[in-house]
Amino acid sequence: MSHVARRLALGMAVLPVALILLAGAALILLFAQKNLLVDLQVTRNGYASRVAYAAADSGLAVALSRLNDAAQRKTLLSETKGAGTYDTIASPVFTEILGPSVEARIKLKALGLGGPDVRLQVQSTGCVSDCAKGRATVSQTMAMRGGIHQIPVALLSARGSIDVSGPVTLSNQSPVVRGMLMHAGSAINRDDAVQRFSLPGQNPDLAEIAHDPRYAEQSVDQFFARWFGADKDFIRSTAANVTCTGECAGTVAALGSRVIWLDGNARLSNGNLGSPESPVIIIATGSLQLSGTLRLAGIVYSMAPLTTIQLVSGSIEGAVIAENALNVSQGGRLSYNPVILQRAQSHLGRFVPVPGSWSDGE
Amino acid sequence: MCNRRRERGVSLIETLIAMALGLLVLTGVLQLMNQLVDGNTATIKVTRLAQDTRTVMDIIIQDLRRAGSFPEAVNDLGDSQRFLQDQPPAPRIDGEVLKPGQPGSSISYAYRESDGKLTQGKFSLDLKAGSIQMHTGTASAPETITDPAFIHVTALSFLPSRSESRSGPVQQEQIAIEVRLVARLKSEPTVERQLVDRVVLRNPVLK
Repeated sequence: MSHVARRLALGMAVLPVALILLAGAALILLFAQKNLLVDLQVTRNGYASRVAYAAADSGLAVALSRLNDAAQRKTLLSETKGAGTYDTIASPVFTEILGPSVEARIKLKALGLGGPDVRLQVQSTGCVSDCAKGRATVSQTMAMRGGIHQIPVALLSARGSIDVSGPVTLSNQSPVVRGMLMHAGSAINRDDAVQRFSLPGQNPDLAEIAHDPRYAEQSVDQFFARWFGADKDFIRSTAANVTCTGECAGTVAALGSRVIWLDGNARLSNGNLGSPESPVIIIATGSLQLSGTLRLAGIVYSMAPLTTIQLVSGSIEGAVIAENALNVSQGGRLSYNPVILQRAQSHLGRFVPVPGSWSDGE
Repeated sequence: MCNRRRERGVSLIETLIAMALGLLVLTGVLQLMNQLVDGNTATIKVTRLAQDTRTVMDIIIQDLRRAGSFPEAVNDLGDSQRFLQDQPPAPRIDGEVLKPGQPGSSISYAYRESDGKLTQGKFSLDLKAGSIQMHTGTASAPETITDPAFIHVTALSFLPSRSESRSGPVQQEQIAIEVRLVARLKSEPTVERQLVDRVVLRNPVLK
């Protein structure tokens, strides 16, 4: 080898070694970057999983909110048999878009339908990017707390006495409650002008229960809880509250088909309150007078010391409950309607999550 | 003459200078490599510490979230006595009834699975080994859910808060737990990571 070649060879030896080492360093650098990329992917996956979980939980909240909204409930549950209770799930599956690439797929399953005890299992699957990047499923049972907990078995129920006089028509032709007309914790007084219609062939006297100690021995609060399944403060907090004195039919009618908590000494004497399809439940705390041409479909619960019903040509379809004494006179038609009562219980009820029923997984 | 000069070869000084320069370049490259390897190792460790603590936190949060669940709840509706009987035991911190604002280093809880089996869990920090123990079931031995050879857990705390609400005649207690986890690398105690998360127990305790 020539001298020049040897000199060149010396330089050539250092360069490849340096290049090899630099290549090694570059490889290590790339490896470090790969770790960072993997960590980034792990973080992304963790984030997607959390978003999916949050979406699934939100799906439960959305379902509950829809079930408790009168207009939206009609799109989810329906009453096809005309018995006053929800018997069919109209939309067993629906999707709620919660954000870009995030949605909750909600399934409703009936655990109890077609009776007073309505229970639904709501399963919600949270999805990120069409479930490709994140998926989580949670479920919870929702039970209905009825607009009224216990449907009255008599047309007129009072913890105190019931006095009926004049050309009043009382009718209950429901065999389920044996055509019961009046049920009182104290005396029942009526004159001969009162027209009573119970089950065909049944003596109307048998459709009355007076001096029932189960009513008489209860306090006003116990009596209230018997019907509504909770104390007054709780029911008040869940009802539509209105304060009105004097003629209040218009004010109450404006609230629509709801459970209405009415404060004040109110008189309801005209117009329509509720309808057979959309009944009302009125809970009145003050002195209450139902009179004139009022047509009411639903349930009236009165806390007045003396509840007065003086319907001249009006009517009540449903039932009346008085915490104390009840006086019905002058005229009008009062009839027990089990379908309207059932509807008042189910259509005006609210769904609540059953504690202990939340679970995750498919 | 010219050919002879060319054939004289490389002098000792030239060789030494060439070797010195070569060594200098080599030293620089090796140092760079060393730094890269060290940096990479540190990154891997920090990444793993982050991943491990996050995974442990997810396990804790996910299991606590389902505390109090029991399938009989649906059938027990309307019968508060049976409901209270079937309800799994309420969570306890350091073996005591939850006191809002009072943290502890261990939490026990329970939930019933769909097959009726009661899972009683407990997360606690074993102070001697600096690792998190997870107890599941009633008789099984605790399981270490952190790698004691790699991570030293210096703190695990559970801070409860609660709110009460009513659903009809039943009083409900909604519990939320703030979980704080501090862990450091066993090999490099200066590398530490702290995670704080909050979980709302989805099933309220009924009273």
